[in-house]
Amino acid sequence: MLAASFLLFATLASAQVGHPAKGAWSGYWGTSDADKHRILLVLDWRNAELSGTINPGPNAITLDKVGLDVDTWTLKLEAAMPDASGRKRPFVATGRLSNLGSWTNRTYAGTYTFGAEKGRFTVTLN
Amino acid sequence: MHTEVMGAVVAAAAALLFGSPHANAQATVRAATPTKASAPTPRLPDGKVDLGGHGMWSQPWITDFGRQVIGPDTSIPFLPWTKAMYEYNKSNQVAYDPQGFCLPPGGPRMFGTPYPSQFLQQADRIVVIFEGGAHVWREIHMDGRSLPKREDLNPTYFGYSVGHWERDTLVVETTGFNEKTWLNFNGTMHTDELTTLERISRPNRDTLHYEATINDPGAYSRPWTIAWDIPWAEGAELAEYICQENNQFLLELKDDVGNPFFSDVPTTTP
Repeated sequence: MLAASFLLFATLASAQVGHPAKGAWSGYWGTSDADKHRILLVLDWRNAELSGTINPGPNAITLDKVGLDVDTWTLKLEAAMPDASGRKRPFVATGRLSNLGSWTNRTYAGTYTFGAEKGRFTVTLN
Repeated sequence: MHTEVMGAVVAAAAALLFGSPHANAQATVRAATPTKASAPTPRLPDGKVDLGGHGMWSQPWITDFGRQVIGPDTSIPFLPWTKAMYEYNKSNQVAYDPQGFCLPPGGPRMFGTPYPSQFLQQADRIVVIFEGGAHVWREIHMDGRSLPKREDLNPTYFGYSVGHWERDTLVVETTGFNEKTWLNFNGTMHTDELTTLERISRPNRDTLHYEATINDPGAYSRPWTIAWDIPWAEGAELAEYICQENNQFLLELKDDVGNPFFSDVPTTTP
């Protein structure tokens, strides 16, 4: 019971109920379960605009465009992302925010294109 | 059952709250308009209005800020996302209201939470203590300091407040709010860009008039002002009330996909 209480308060401490897209999201993207890659996505809402970064750090990719349709909660991300050879290719992810009221299992999932590659992604709010 | 944990059972909550000794139905009077003879406004030795005394403020339950808006335009100036979230929160009977999890209400909502409060006035600060809302207090600096920049503050539930007197009205500016609260019970939301300007007066002993201007360009297209009166309960005392104790609502709450809201095990993807 004591352990459960600690877990509960640890969860409460991470409450985030501002803009539903804002925050750090983590999960996977790839063409299949056998070919999936870890992704960390950080989105911010400032000056009435969404902005964001994929995989913050030395290889961070700044999103060029972030658009949210609140009627369907469809979120679209666009960036120029380098492929394995270092050549930049257009990355476009389109998905839906769901479980909006959850702090622990809010999800952004959908499909992406990366140059000619197509795949799926799912990230969950950290 | 605690007031803060009633988000999922609104109708039952209303019935329970209106039956509680501290609760009042949502105020319908937006301006201070005393309707009966009341003792005069109490004052401190230095002539300033005394917001305290031997009693407490019996706060009403303001469930809908939309009914308390004053000014030429009485609508809430939602941005598209706050309007959509308001509709979403309404669709699930405000089940995910942070106050239902016993987190502090923060901001103006604290004065619309149906548990009483008291003002403790000192020369350099005013402290407001609240029986409900997680048994919290709020500090208003009255020593003339300027309001810090939001970016320089650690965001908190109640933000950082400085106040001054304009004649008999206490004017309080607040910034530095975190994003862990709703503005109101019915799902009006805010961002950390929120600032508030509160004007608090005591036109007679038995009435506290409360006004708050909400300015949050991240959530609303223009500032908007809400107001209500809070009646005085002479001779009454605050009780100890701990919302967190035995909060069964929180333990049983499920998210949109049916998973426990708080769980230490991996949940399924929606």
